[in-house]
Amino acid sequence: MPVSRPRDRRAHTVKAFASQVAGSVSDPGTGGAKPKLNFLGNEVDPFLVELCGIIVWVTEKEKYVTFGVDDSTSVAQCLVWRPASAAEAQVAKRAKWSREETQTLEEVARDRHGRLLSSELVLGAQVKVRGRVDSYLGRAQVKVASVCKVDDPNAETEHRMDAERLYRDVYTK
Amino acid sequence: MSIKHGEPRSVREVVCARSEDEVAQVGTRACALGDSVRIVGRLKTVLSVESVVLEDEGSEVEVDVSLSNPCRFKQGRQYQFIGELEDRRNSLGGGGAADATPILVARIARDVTGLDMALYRAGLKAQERCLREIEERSSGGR
Repeated sequence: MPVSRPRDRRAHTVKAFASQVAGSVSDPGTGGAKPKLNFLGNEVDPFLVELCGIIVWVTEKEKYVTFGVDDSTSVAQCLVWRPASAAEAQVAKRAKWSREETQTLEEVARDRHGRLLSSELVLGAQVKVRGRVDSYLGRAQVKVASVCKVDDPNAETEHRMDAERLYRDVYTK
Repeated sequence: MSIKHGEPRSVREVVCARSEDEVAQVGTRACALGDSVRIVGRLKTVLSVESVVLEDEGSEVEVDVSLSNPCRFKQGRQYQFIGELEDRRNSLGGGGAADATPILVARIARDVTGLDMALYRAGLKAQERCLREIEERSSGGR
């Protein structure tokens, strides 16, 4: 039975399982072709997703941090970019910020990212991750828009029940 | 990075883990040595800095926590571990090779005191059901 597609899938954040994210690349797009993503049997553009699971690995690189979220179905790879220099952002956005504004923006971004790394992205932390699923080198990856640590041990259970109910009552209607 | 996810299993299923040949005879629900599993239980004993005993529904399993993330272990609290099953002679008792039961070598340890176990199991069943339907739908649609 064909699955109905919302008019603008990009506006909706879908509650999903890590295995759905990990298996969403239906065609890695060799030879310069754009990779194809698949969700619930339909070919889709990069879509917004919410996952809930436990961080099982963290890798820090110069420009980004990647981590894996295990929700007992699979491990979804997630990516958080380090804050770019505000001066670079200013040039990119053609903004006219003063030197003090640029320095303040850089400090705020670095401080926020530092807190994210020290308190949220730690091994064993239960987190809720929201981001856009896309393909990189043939593998699905979540480009993180927001990640927050959840202390309630029942949060994963709640996410499972919600995802199952939404799949049954909303996503396949 | 390709780390396997931890399949949710009960302590009883882990304790009965067997070799891969025996698992093939018993069925898919049994755990095999080397499997990545996720278990939840109440901490019965802290044997040492590297080893604890987890208990759930009358079954006990020893967990090697020397490689896991730092976590404070307190008797009576609920913990969740993700790790691999190894065939080691454990410290729970028994002298012969026949008494050796699998040990979980944990790489992730988490305090989950307050976890509603009945709801947790219901959530896992709902997840399994949902993923099975998705699988059937995608294979039926091809």
